[in-house]
Amino acid sequence: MATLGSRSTYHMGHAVKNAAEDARDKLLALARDVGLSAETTPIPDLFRKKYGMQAGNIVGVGSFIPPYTPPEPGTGQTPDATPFWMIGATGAEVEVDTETGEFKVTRLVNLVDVGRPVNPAIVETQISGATIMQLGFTLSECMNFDAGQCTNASLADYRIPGIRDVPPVMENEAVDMVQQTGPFGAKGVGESGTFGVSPAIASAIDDAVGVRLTSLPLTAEAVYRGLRANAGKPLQD
Amino acid sequence: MATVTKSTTHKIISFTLNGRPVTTHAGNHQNLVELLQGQGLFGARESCAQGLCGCCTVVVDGHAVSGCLTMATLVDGADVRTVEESQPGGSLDAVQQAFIETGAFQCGFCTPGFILMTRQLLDAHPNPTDDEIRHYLSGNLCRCAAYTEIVKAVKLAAKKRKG
Repeated sequence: MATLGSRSTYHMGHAVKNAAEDARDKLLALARDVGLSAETTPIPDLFRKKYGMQAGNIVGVGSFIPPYTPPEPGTGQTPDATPFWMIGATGAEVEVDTETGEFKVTRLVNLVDVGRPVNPAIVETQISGATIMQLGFTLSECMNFDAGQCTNASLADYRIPGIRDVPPVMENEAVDMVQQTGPFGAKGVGESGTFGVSPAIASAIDDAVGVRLTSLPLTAEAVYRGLRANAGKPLQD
Repeated sequence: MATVTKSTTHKIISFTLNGRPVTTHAGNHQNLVELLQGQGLFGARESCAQGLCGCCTVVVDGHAVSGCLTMATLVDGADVRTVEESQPGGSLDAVQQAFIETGAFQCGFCTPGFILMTRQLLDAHPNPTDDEIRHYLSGNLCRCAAYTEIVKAVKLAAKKRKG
């Protein structure tokens, strides 16, 4: 699966790189100006030569706007919607209680393509965090509305994952990739860990007991209703 | 006409804050988080305001409480400790170091609560099992879901404490 979000690293990375290169070029120009070698002269010495004391600033400026072509109004098609796509995949293992429909996610394996990870340790935390957040949307998070009013706007009634909801086995990894157009080969991370979680768990339930759920959150009641329907004894709504 | 000598809207309270004596006004309507903010301390953060998330954890007389559910006037005479409390030697303690080394947060909003609860956990269970860690920290929510790293941090902190 793929989306086109999580582009902060890509955009900011390019802008910061451009700004740093601009600062470097200004230092080189300063060195040329005072007749010293930028390669061998310490920066404080360049300032001393230029201003008579170790003082002064070099300010690098950079910006980045990616190429983009708006969609054709008639067709909605564009050859250039986004500078890149995010790719993420999840494998899930579940245990389903066929008497009650209760199920447990026992294992989640998450793989993402983030380009080259800028900070591999943080990338792994982001994949793990995104996956657990999506686990909440998959299993428990559901905003209820009555006459346009949210009726469960509290963490007591709207349950987000806690430390006990983390699957006992979880593996998170970024595949070895380089985004040719990215800053130092990077894309971004954020949402990549979320893409596959819900469909993978729904598919695992289907694989286990032959119940195909198509709306979130995936609940024990929905599984039980599916089991009863499959047995030819559907529950009334 | 009787002279009003006592305010009905606030009380002057005295308590110990991170080891230093404090005397201040506490509004009857204020909770402990607001009282601490008045003292320039923002480590206890109000998130759910219902005692469900643990972001506002404060240690009062040795017990972790939800700052959002503790009326400010109730800490009169108490020993109050927050995540800002300086550690012996003026550096970070084993728990804080372990959280940094394992990267046990993303945005950091919930971290003060997790730090304070982890210290209590390790005081009670110097060698906690995974189950004990999950049980003890189940009242603290992390929306970035750095839970896997938090469990690692607690274990590392346990090891560091033993030196």
